[in-house]
Order: sequence, then C-alpha cells, then structure tokens
Amino acid sequence: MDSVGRHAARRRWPVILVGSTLLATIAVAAPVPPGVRVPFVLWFLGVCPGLAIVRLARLEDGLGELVTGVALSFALLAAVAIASIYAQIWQPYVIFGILAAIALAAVAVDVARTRSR
Amino acid sequence: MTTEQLTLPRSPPISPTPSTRPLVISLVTLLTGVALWGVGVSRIKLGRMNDFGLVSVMPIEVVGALLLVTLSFVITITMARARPILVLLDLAVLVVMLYGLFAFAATEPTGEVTWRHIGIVDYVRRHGTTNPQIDAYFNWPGFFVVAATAVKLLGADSAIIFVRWASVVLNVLYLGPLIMIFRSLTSDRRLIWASVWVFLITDWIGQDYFSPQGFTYFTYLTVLALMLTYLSSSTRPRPAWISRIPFLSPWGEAQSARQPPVPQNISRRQRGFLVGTVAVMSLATVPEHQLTPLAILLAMTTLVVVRRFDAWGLPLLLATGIAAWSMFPASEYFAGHLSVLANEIGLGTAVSANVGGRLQGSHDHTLVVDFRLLYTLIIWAVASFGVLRRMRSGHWDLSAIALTIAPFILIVLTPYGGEMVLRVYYFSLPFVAFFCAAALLPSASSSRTLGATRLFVVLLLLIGGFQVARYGNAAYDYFTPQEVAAIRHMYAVAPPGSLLVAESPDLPWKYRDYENHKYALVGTNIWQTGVTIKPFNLRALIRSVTTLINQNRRRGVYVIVTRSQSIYLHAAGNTPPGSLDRFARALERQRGVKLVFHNSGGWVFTSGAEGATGG
Repeated sequence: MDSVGRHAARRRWPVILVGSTLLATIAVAAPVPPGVRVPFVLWFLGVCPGLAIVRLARLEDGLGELVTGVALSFALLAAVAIASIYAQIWQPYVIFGILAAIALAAVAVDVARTRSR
Repeated sequence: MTTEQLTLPRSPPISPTPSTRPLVISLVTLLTGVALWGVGVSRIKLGRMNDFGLVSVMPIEVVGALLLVTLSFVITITMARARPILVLLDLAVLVVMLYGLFAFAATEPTGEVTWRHIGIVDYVRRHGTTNPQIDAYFNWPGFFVVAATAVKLLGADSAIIFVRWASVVLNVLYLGPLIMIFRSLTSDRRLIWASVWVFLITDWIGQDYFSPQGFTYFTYLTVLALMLTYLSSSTRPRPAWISRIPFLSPWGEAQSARQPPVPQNISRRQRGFLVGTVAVMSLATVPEHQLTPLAILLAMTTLVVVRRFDAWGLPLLLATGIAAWSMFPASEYFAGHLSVLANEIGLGTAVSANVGGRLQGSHDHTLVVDFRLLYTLIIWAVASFGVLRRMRSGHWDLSAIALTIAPFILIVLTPYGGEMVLRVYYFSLPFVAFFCAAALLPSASSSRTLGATRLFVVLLLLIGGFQVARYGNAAYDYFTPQEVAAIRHMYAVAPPGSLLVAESPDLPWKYRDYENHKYALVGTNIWQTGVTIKPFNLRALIRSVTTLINQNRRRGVYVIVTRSQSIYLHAAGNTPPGSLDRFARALERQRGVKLVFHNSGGWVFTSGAEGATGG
C-alpha cells in the first residue's frame, strides 16, 4: 500500500471501529429481534476490540492486521467471559461494556498517536 | 526474477495486452457451476442416504457444479495474469459448496454432538456458571461461555442460531491465516492459492462445526501464521548434507543457496507487541479446548528447536498455563480419569483405539472407513512427494516439514476418544496441503495445457474423495424434522429429574435443560477410548429397560427410539435393518410401558400412565 493509501486507511479505520461499537451498543440496547442484532453484535465481538489494539502495532499489512485482530478479539472475549464466570459475576452486558471500552480506548490512543506525528 | 520463479511452475510471460478470454471463460464456468449447484441442492433428498452417506443421494447437478468450480479455479490460476479477486471468488464458492450444503438442504442441525453443545451453552446462559458434574466439557468451558455471552447479547433463546452456518463461517475465517502461512513458505502466488484449495478439499475430518475444536483451530492457524511471518527469527539455508544426495541436488550447489521468503521486517517494539498478542491468544485457548493448546505448544517448541522462532519464553508460559488449568479448574476431571489416562498413554493403545476401533460396522460403512484410511494415506504420500520435489528444486522448507511432523507426538499422549489420528491429520493439514499443492502444480518444463489438465483431474479426484470421507457418516448425523419433533415432545412431557433412555447415542438430545434430566444408554457403552456397540439382543435390551424402570420408580423414565439411532446401529454396529423397529414394537407390548408419542421419526415411551399422541 502506498503512503496515500496508508494515510486514508489510518483515517478510515478509527471511524469504522467507533461506528461499529456505537451500532452494536444500540443493537444490544434496543428492543429489536435477534436476527437484526446478529450482524452488528457479531461484527463487534469478532473484530473491533482486537483490531483496535492490533492497529496500534502499525503492521502495514491489511491481511495480517485483520487476521490478528479477529483472533485477538476472540481471545479477549474468551478471557473476559471466562474470568467473569469463575469470579461468579458473569454479566454479558458488563462483558460487552468492557470490550467496548477496550476498543474505544485503543482507537483513542491510535488517533492521538497519528495526530502527534 | 525471484529465486522461486526459477523452479516452481513459472507464470507465463506477461504480454502487453493479455487476453480476457480465459477470464470470461473462468467466470462463466463458475457462475454456471453456482446455478447448477442451486438446482442440485433443491433436489437433494437427505432422508434417503444409505451407509455411503451424502454421495448416495448427491444429484448429478451437484457433481457437475463441483466439476465446474474446479475447472474455473484451474483456468484462473493458470491464466497469464492471476486475478486474486477471481481466485477469492472461486474459493468462496468452493467453501459454500463443500461446507454449506447441509445449511441449505437440511432443516435441523446435524450431528448429535452439536445438539449437546447447544445444551451446554443453554446451561451457562441460564445459570451463569459451569458444572463439571454434568459433563466433562465444563472443565474446558471457554467456548461455551463465549457462545452463551453472544446468545444473551443477541437476545436469542438458544445457540441454535449459530449452528447452521458455523461450518461455512469457520472455513472463511481459516482462509486468512492459511494465506499468511502459505505466503511465508513461498512467493509463488499459484502455489499459495493451490495450497488453500487443497486444504479445503482435503479437510475431511469434520471438526469445523459449532465446537471448541472448530473455534480454537482458527487461533491455532493464526498463531502459526504469526510465528512464520512477523516473528520468524531466521531464514537458514538448507544444510550442506542435502546437496550431497544426488536425487535432491540435481542442479548443483547453486540451488542450495535458495531460501524461503524473507520474514517481514518489524521493529523491536512491534515484535514485543506481537509476542504479547500470541501469548494472549494461546493462553485463551487453554480454558477452551483440551487439545488445541497442546498442539500450539508443540508447534511453538518445534519452531524453537529448529531455530525458526526464538521467543522461547512463550512455550514455557503456555506449558505453565496448561499445567495450571489441569491442576486447578480441570483438576476434578484429571482426578477422576487419572488411571484411565495413564493406561491410555502409548502407541499400542493409540493405534488400537484410533484404527482398530473404527474398522467395524456394516459392509458399506466399513468400506467408507477403509476409504478414509486410504484417502489419508494417499494425501500423505502426495505430500511426501511434494517435500522431495521442493527439496529437489532447492527449497528447504524446514519449518513446514517440522510443523507437519510435530502433531504426531500427540498420538502417544492419549487416543483422545479414538480420535487422535484424526486430530493429528487436522493439525498438520495446512503443511500437508502446501506440500500436496507443490507436488501437483505443473512444472515449468511441462506443457501448459497438459499440466493444467493433470491438475484439474487430480483436484477432481481429491474433491470426490472428500465427499465420501467427510460425509460418509451423514446418514446418521442427519436428523429429520420428525425425529427432532419426537425429542421436543419428550422434553415437553418429561418432568425434571426424569431418566431419559436411548439405545445408542446418535440422536438430537441434551440440547435443553441438561441438568434437569439423567441420561442412560442401553445398547452402547461409552468408553474413554470411544464407543462400543453391544451385539443387538432384543431380550437383553428389554431387560435393561425394565431394570431401569424398576430402579427409577420415583422418577419418570422416558425411552426414545429414533430413525437416526436405527441407521447408526446398522452402519456402525452392523445390526440387521429394522432391529430398532422390533425393539420399539416390543416396548409397546411391554407391561408398564406406555407409548406417549409416535411419528415417522421416532417413538417416545414412558413408565408413567400418559396417553399416546402423534406428530
């Protein structure tokens, strides 16, 4: 990817990640059928927290970033969910909130670092 | 020109204005295949499968569609200028055709284990906790807790919402890390795409469903991909001793200087970040699955030993994590199974459980099992030829060879319910597929048309073999809406605490209220090393049922006889067809046993006094 393309991607992904987090939050909170929630919630759980973090590493390889981001999202979801089960405080909405906070915090750091350069 | 292009099938020279004819032909072939497949799937009668499984009812249109998609792929990768978007389209269509057929053609989830997984997720969803007393799965509950969290967030009633497309989604997910792995081994695009294709058409193990193994396999592939790309520590040339073997060094010393693609350059900080990411991913698999963390540990250790990965702290960390999980959260399981597990360690037990235990059943089913063994051996033989071909052309794929062999160490650790050979095949498959593709792609010196034709024929044979090997058990893994209705009725009428009895385990039960019922099998023994079907004996079965009824007078006893159990017993136990019908009729005549439900999918009996209903 050339420098112009990289710059565009750098600006595009934070918007996508924040937008996805907001849409997933609305989907979870709104009284809508499961079928409507599926794309928003699964996209968020499977992609957003991990990709937001992986983007901080600046791998400059779209496939590598996406694959690592998805795998890390699953790992984070599993880690938070399992910890809460064994702590006997399993609350899916709290787990969702923690993951959303992780995603938004990572995006904030990413944007701040991009601006400071 | 890169070193890879010197030996591997060389891309034809790029003309200034490449013809678009192959592109159009490939696209038209693919679209015709898709249309044909749609027609074929709408005509398929899954309820008529015999002991050969899916191939016994596969319409000619589906066969034609597989032929056309293979042809489209071969045309695409032998075109003058490779079109990645078209290859991706071919791969997407192949995934749907190979792994999505039941999602389109079956109305109910297939495989009894899928239903049990739904039941475990249901338990976590309702109680917000685990219960190892009910099922050993709760000792590694990660996957089920994740699924329960997603079910709750979606506001769904059950994990059944994920099941239908799980296989397709998982295989699409696998494509990403697979491409990364193959990119780390070669820079030849055709070899990369062919390796992905071969992986998809030889993954006959059937673990890519709604399961901890299917889910964690994606992490396994991603960890491998990261270790082989960003975190690969060196590109060591092949050893000098290989150059001294005449067969492997036909072109002299100059060939031995060839090296695998250079690992991607990353800074020290990025490297530290990725090592941390791999640590989190690997450790997260420990509570999710018994076997995958061991496979990751073996892969990491192997790469450290062959000096292709120098973050040696990672295998130590993962080993500590596995040991800690075994000693604390999963300690009850190991305490209860220690003597059994100790007896299972060893090659003799592994071979007996993995091979001997599976070579039984009806004549047709035994043929399918024999075919699977043959198919696996052929794939391994082709891969071995690929290894030699790569070495002969000067490539030293040390990481890939080591990672092909590493999973075999798992065999001596435990038979894993008689499935370890299958899992070894699964964990080594990415590299086996790479070497198979290297063996099959036409060489630079061969005629382009002849090479493409040969590749097409071999891929077609492999895809045909896949249908037999993968879906050979489909007759009893498939459940009709009628038998699901029978089970639903049983749960609707059976009060909490009832004992639910079946002849054999192959039925869609345990998907709800898992903790509220007890379960018993009267015709099958489930051992740590697998399932043993008792010889069919009608009197003994009736005696077992009446004994259970007498022993459980205080709780209700429900006996369920389904179509799928009957097929399973015939296929895997070689009982005469109609044996379970005789069992059901005998139960109907039995004093103290009442028929409460009957339809074309099954019978439900109880020891109580409820009347019969039909469905």
